[in-house]
Amino acid sequence: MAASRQARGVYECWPMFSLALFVFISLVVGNETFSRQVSMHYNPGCNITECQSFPPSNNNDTHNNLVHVLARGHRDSLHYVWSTIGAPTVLVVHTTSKDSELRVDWERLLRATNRSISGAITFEPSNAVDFSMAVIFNKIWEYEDLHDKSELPEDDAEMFEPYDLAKMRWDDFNMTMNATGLTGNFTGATTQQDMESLFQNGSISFKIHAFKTDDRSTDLPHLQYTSNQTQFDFTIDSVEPRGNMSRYAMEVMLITEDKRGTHVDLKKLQSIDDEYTPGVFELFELTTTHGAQTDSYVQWKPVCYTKHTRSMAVATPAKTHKLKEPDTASIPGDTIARAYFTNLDRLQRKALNVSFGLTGDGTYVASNFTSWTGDPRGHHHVWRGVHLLQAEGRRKGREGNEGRVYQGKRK
Amino acid sequence: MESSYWRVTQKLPKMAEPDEKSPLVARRRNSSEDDEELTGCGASAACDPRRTLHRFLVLWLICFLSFGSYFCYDNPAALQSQIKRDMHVNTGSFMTLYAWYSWPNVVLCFFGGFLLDRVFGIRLGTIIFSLFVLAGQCVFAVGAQLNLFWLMEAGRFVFGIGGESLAVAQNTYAVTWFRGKELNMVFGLQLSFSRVGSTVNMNVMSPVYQWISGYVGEGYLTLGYALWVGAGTCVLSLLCGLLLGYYDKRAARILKRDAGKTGEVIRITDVKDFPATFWLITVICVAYYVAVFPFIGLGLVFFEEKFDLDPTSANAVNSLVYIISAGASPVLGFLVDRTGKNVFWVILAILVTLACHMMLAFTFWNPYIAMSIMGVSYSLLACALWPIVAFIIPENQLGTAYGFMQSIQNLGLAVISIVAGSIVDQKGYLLLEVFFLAWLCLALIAGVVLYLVDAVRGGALNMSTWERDAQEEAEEKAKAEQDERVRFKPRSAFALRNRFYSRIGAKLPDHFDIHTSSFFRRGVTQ
Repeated sequence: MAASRQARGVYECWPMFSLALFVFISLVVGNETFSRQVSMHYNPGCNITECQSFPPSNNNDTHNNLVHVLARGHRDSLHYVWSTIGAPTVLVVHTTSKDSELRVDWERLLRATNRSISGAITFEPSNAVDFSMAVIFNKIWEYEDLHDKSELPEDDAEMFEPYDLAKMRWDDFNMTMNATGLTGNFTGATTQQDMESLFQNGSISFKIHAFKTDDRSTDLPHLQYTSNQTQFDFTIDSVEPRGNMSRYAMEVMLITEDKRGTHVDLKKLQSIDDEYTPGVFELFELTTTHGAQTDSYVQWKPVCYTKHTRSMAVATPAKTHKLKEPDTASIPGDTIARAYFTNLDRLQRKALNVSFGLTGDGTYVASNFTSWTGDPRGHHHVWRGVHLLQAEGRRKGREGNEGRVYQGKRK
Repeated sequence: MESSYWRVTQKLPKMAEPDEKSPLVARRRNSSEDDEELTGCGASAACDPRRTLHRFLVLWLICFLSFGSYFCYDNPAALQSQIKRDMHVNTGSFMTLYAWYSWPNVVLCFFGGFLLDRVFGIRLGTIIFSLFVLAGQCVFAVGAQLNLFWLMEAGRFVFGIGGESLAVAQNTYAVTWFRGKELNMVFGLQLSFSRVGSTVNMNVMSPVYQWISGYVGEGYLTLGYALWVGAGTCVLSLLCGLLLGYYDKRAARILKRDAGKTGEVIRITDVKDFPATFWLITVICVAYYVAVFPFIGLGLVFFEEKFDLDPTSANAVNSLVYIISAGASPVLGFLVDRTGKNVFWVILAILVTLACHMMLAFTFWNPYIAMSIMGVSYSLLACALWPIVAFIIPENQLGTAYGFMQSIQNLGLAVISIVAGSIVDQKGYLLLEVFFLAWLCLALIAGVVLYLVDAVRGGALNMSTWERDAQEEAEEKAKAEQDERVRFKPRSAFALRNRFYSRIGAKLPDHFDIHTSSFFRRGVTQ
């Protein structure tokens, strides 16, 4: 009938491209439902000049940021060590002792040459370490998506030179740290030759957030959190794209001790309920099983946002690609993971790419139109806002307790 | 005295009737003596309004009457990127082209329908609204050609004044010509034509723009020229309106449609006296449509995200309802014509749609299934629901009734689209589906109440075609019997006396005229 045309809306393409990636690294420890005592410390125990908060004799120097988030329980404790010394890395360690401590040999970590940093990070008592793993944010890929298919090229050669996150200049985390709110930002720009200019107004940042209670975050995508977890937002802000149809992807690597019974799986959980993250019906989990008691995971929702003010309107999908098994050599030379794991050959290594954007979201075409008509700033904003959230700590059967319905369809 | 009788009778022309020699029971039925002699083409099946073939030729005119307005309605959608580029407008401004059409129509098509009934009449009204449509599209095109976006918006407003009211006129025409015959199918066919109009537009306008830009180059001038093609379709529709007016007038003369008219004129306050069943139908109309169209408006992302479809397939699924309704609605209309039981079909359609929404909301089943079924049930509802109004509203109020329904529906769709959008933004698609399920439940309740109210009143709306025919036959029969009784009525003392006077050659009273007396006998002037 006549009125039917009313509803034939025009499909709106958002002029900005948006990406959001939500990642959890989680550790499932026992079945307690208590809240942990959570605290955040910046460069703990460091008194050498390299890690002082305000020494930037030269503004172009990178800050050696290492943040220790400690979540003490009654019988155990969880350590999250975030650092931008080398490639951004989070080290997750679960100890069966509630009094376990992080020990950092700062001289070795920052002054050792020839990658002999091995052993610079340890936990006391060392026999209390139940499980450990590290998640390394390795590279940002940029590729020309000429056909707007949002498919990552098979061959690395078809992409632009990736941003190597180990070659970044990082700002002082301490400046943004809120020890009571348990938040802070790692913000940086590349120092790679010929690519620095692309970061003139731009930055890449990880915002981390730890929690004292159990709830859902107030920001989209409203991931659930507990005091077992830390979350992070990953943002690419105003970095100049190198192509007319640029898309970005991030390589994430997970390494863990190769013990008996340890295996890493990528799972896709589907739910009919998108109440907390409108339009997102999936949850990805990179789960590591360590025997019967402990699980850890990195969890994310496949969505990202193109603006700082997140809403469904500026959301666009993030695509999770297949899990790969990289060799030892592909572990970045510079990462605190090498300072903790002493035998790199006895590690399980997994890596995956997460790319941002969806076929035909038309962002590029749309912004190209605007830039042709004389808005040279159009490109600056195309990639604003890539967010990655990460949280840690989870208990088994969590979904069941929440009453969320998960469909059994898993990859 | 004898002579006076003869004088009188001799004066009579060779008409039937003069005296007792002619049958007292006139063969009124089947008699063609007062019917107009049709000659030439008029006598053939194609032009004789009493014949089915002619009705179906008129049906084409009715369908093409709205072709132009449906074609032009979606011109902006078909040329979205071109309009945005050539007129230098952003998406928000672009959307005002639709807002300027939709929002005024929350009120306008009610008044359009009322004016149709009260002032213009269907024929003139149709032509006037067609002219508005044409004028609106012309202003729209001129606005593009002069690079004046506000003029384009004004054009859409004028276009809107005509567009929805023209749809009301189209409905009224359909009822006039097809009431009690193929009405459900005709409504179904109208629905498919609206789809055809939009689809043709979507596939034609962009190539047309490309083609013109080959000569003129890209720019607002090209856009203007392309929009004149839309104006061409409006001319086509206007021609249909003129032809319809002519044929309708002719048919009214030949079929003596006006004979049954009471001459009553609708007043605007008559709306409040519309029967309860009409209000229930309006509730169903709003509650059902808001669960289908705002959903389709938001469906693309839902299908992409929940069912992992790529944008092309998601778009295909999302437009399934439109495509299926284009094909299925005439067929389903025919089915409803054959079976009757409109209320039953309406309730069934609501139930099936409810099931489809539940499938989409609570399962991961392939959405092709749910959307295909929804397409069928939507078509079924559309062609079973709208004709019910023709059963319960007198003909002289039909325009007002249809206009009112469409106004309320426009209002519902406009408001619910906004609400649905914010539900998705805040709470996601699952809650949106629950929201739509609630509306469908409301429609279902209204449907059941409609059935009950109607059953209490004798079940006229839910009769099967067979029962309806039987009832009509019985009514005809009763009427005929009554007519017979009237015709066998004993003559009045006055008539008998005069007849006697005639026989004996007595002088008849001065005021008596045998012509008039024959009318008395036939009951015409009584």
